[in-house]
Amino acid sequence: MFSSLLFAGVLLQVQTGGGAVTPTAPAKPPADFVVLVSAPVYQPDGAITAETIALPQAGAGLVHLFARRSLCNPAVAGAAEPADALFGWRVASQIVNRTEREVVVSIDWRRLWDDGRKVANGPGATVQLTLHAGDRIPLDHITNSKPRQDCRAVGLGLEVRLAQADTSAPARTALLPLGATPGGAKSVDAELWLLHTLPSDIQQVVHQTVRLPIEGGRFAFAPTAVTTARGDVSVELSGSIDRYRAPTGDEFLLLSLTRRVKGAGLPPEGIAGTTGSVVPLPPPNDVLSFEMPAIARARGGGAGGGGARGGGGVVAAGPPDPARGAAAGGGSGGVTQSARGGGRGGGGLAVAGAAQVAALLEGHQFSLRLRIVPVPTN
Amino acid sequence: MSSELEIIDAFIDGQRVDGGAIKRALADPEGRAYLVDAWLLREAIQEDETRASYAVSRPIARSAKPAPRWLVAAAITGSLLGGYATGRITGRPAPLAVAPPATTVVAQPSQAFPVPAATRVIQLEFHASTTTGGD
Repeated sequence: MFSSLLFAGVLLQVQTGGGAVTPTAPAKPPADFVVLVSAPVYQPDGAITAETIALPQAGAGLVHLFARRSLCNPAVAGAAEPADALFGWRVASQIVNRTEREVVVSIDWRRLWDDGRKVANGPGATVQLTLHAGDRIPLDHITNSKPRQDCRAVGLGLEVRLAQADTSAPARTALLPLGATPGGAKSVDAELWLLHTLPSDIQQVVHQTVRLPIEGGRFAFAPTAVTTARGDVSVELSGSIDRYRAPTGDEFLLLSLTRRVKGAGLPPEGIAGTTGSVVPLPPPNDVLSFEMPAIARARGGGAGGGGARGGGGVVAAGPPDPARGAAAGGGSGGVTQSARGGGRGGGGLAVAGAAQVAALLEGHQFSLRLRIVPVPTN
Repeated sequence: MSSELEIIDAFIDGQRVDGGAIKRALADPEGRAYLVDAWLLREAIQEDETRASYAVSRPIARSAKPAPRWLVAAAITGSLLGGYATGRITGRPAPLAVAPPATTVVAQPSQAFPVPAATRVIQLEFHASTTTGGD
């Protein structure tokens, strides 16, 4: 009996957590934070290609991050284990708590594949992380012990990032066709690549896939670190894709983007800029590239003055950036560029901020590539 | 120890006892509580002896005098406290429920890398907010 009672006592203590934080339901709607799990491939020259996946905003999640064929081909999968993993991890998550400032998440990760073999006792841990905006928590790293001609990567990492989605991007519905109504035909997936080209021409790419129900969806990328002459800054890009249907039945996407730059003497909340575009729903073989030069202009030039610039469309088709391997066939269909003259005054501060951002990001090129694909049926 | 408790002890030990005496002993709440305690203690001793896997079976030892109630209570309390302390020292924090995949995640069947070539390029231009904090 004594052993039974002893066991009962131990059980009681362990189940009450011994002071550990127990999961609690969020008391208020989740903040705009997005917990991302990333599998970055680090190249010897500083280039990075990272596959990312967003964890559920609340509750539990289970994903797999892995590399196919070589360490240089990162990919993600859902709860089902991938069949073709060379290296990779299983990541189970549980959002414990959210506040306006942080997210507490429990991560249970384990390396399941190593050099093509399924391993039973790979490295792993259960950690409880309190994440703040911009945090980057490395969990594991697999060194590329056999560099090859087609994969000279230094290694493959497993990281947790916290991104912040801005909700303030104005909806530029005026760019939509007359009579367009919200809602698309059926769910699709949006594949997004955020490309950051450094002044040295080295490129860092982050990929993620976002499910777009008929109303659309939102996305957020983890902050990108940019080294400038005035210090390090972070560039946060987030946005939304809203879906509309014209009276003709054609579907359109309204892409809204917010870029927030922080650091290097900028205000603590950073300097935000917004933009957007309306495009016809592209077929799966179409890849749109939204180019975002660093130079920004303030909306509204003077005291209640008219638009600083008009809303003329800028359309470019065909091979855009051959230096980055972007040879492609010509696209079809017009694309309306978003910029519209504003009528808002008081832009002096914004002008100064825009100038600061432009100076900081000079030489850095950002672009967002978008491909719409059908939802997998598996 | 009162005679009522001794009668209960004898009853637990399987000895012949007077029916009326045991009824009177068990009519008392104190007697019933003692019965339960003594029975549990006896059961625990038997369990421990069974787990010891002695090669030679031996009769269950029976104390000449039944254990006092305070000793039984102290043993139970001590066991619970000891177990709690052991758990506090050696127990890991309660694992959070991370296993259930009760979520919709997007499978990624297609190749994300190398980055596909762009078929169309759209030039965007950011417009700074009129406040530094954003729109």
